[in-house]
Amino acid sequence: MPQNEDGQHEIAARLMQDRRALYSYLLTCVRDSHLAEDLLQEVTQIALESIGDLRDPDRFSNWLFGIARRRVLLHARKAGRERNLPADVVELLASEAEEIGNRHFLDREEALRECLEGLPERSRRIIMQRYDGSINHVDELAKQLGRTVQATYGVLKRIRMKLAACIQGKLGEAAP
Amino acid sequence: MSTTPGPSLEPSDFARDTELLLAMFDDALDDAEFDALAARMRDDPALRRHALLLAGDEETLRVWAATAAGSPDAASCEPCCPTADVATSPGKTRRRPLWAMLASAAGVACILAVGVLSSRPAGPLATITRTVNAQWAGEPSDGVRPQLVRGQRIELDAGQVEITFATGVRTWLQGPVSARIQSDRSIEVTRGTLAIDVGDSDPESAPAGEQFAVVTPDARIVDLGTRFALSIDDGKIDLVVFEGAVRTESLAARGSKPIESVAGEAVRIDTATAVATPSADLEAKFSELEQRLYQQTIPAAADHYVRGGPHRNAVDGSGGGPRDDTLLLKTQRQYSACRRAWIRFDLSKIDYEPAGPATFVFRHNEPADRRDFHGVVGVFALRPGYLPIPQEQGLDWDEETLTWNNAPGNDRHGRVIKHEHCVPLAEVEIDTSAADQPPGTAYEVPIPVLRDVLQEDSSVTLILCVLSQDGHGPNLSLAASDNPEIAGPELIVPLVQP
Repeated sequence: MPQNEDGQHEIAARLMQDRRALYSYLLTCVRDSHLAEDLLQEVTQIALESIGDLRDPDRFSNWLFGIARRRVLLHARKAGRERNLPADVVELLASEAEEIGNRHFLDREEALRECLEGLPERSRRIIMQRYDGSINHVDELAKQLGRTVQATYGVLKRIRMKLAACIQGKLGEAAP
Repeated sequence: MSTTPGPSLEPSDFARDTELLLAMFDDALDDAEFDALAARMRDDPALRRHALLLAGDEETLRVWAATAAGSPDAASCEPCCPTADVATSPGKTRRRPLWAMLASAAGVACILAVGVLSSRPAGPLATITRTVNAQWAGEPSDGVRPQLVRGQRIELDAGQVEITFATGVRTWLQGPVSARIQSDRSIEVTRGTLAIDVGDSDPESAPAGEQFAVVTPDARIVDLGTRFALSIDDGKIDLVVFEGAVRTESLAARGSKPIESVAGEAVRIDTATAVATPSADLEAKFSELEQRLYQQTIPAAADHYVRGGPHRNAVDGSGGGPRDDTLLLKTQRQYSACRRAWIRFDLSKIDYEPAGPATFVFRHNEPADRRDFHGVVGVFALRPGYLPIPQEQGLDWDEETLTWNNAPGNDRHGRVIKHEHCVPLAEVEIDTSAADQPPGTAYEVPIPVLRDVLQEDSSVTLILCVLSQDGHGPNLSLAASDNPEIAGPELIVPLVQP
């Protein structure tokens, strides 16, 4: 792959193409959004530094997910006692994420945004409070809502289930 | 919109699995549920796909919520730092998400213009994990366990230090040495001797860019999956490869062909000419450091102290109080006032050699209550094959719930440990008032054969108990693994040699 300025733009564009699938993969493996972002940053940096070693540009995604998989496994090893997905599952997920590709994630994003618009205002506000970055844990949201933690989990779960079903409906309707 | 082909889920599966996967993302599954879900993911491509798509939804929700809540403009180049903390309200910070940088063409321009992705966080890249008679030219000093950040210099006049990088790569430096941490995958050395164990720090042979490199003023020495040692002195590099292979690229002889050295080779490289000459006498030069490579220092997986008497059912040192970083030991005429410490090491992720010798290391802290301690500490180990008696916790004892009454192998009614399941290892005399035993002093307890203290789950549990002391008031204060200044208990484990 070229490493001049145009080449760097090309690399960055390729990274963007795979970014959504890559992040989803990392989040699935580590289940912590901050950690997934850190790993995404590491993977991106390594990819930029070592792009010259990519011999077949057509295999960019495969190469990128290979880096991501190694970073996930390395993290799991360092994390020690934390709960980790087995290495073979981490590998299978990498193949699956690469196969799904960014396009489908973007389609799904569009569907989810439409589904969010269709939520009752109160549910939408709860989801916004949960995900706007102002809280770190559901306990804090429970305090804000004046509910128990268990009840708050229940509310969030129902809304997320509803959204997931809505997305499936929309993508199913649009399927050929 | 379109969908990509792939396995699909039946509606009932879909609802059930959505619920399970959302619980997984919320970390709300117990261990059994998590393991069962992971096992199903191994066999079920539809479930893996479902998990990935829900993860994508998680990000969409964060972007949507943050944007609606007035997040910084994703296309903005200010500030163009993916891990910067962004103040959101007094006393609160929020990490600026990476999507804000990568979500647009402008974001890409930011990356390229400012080189943001090259500016890694200034967090620790490596840690000094062991010192042997180290004489520093400046800080740090013996006994501390400093985290090393990018650019940090290491100036050692004599002795040896082990530096473990965040990537798992271990290096032993032998003074006199002058080095600098470049990244989590490289170290710059201007003079001195070092040995490196890249080992299996990467899950598989890493591609270029992820390989560990030693950078000297005249050359770049790149690991190709290996253990090796080298010394750098005025344009000359002495190199011995114990395992794997190493590539040396001369920076001084521009355009020269890299020199590849494989296991068993010992060469002297003139970086000015990029010529390598075999040198058989080098192996002896590096033999001591080579032995260091086949040892690994690991911190305690759990450590805690317990108290007898009225506190026998209480969990001491828990709750985030100041005692979390300290292990207190003491004995009195009545066992009711005794304090003892339990320390567990987890070797399950290490390729250890059970027949080899190990070493247990612990360090004392600032004297508790400013009263010096003088006495003898007994070091015991749970005997291999230990089975807990009723009331006692098992091999996986939990430091959050450990008490005098449930600590495995505790002699609950005696002043000293006489439990049939404990094997005595050593008696160590400690005098915290002695000039040669300042806080941070390391006490090393040899364990002749690791197997003799190793449990079947690859754990080692050690117990510290004061056997005798002057007076009955002072506690002996030892650094626990959470101690921010002094290294906690460590086990130096022998590794399998090829």
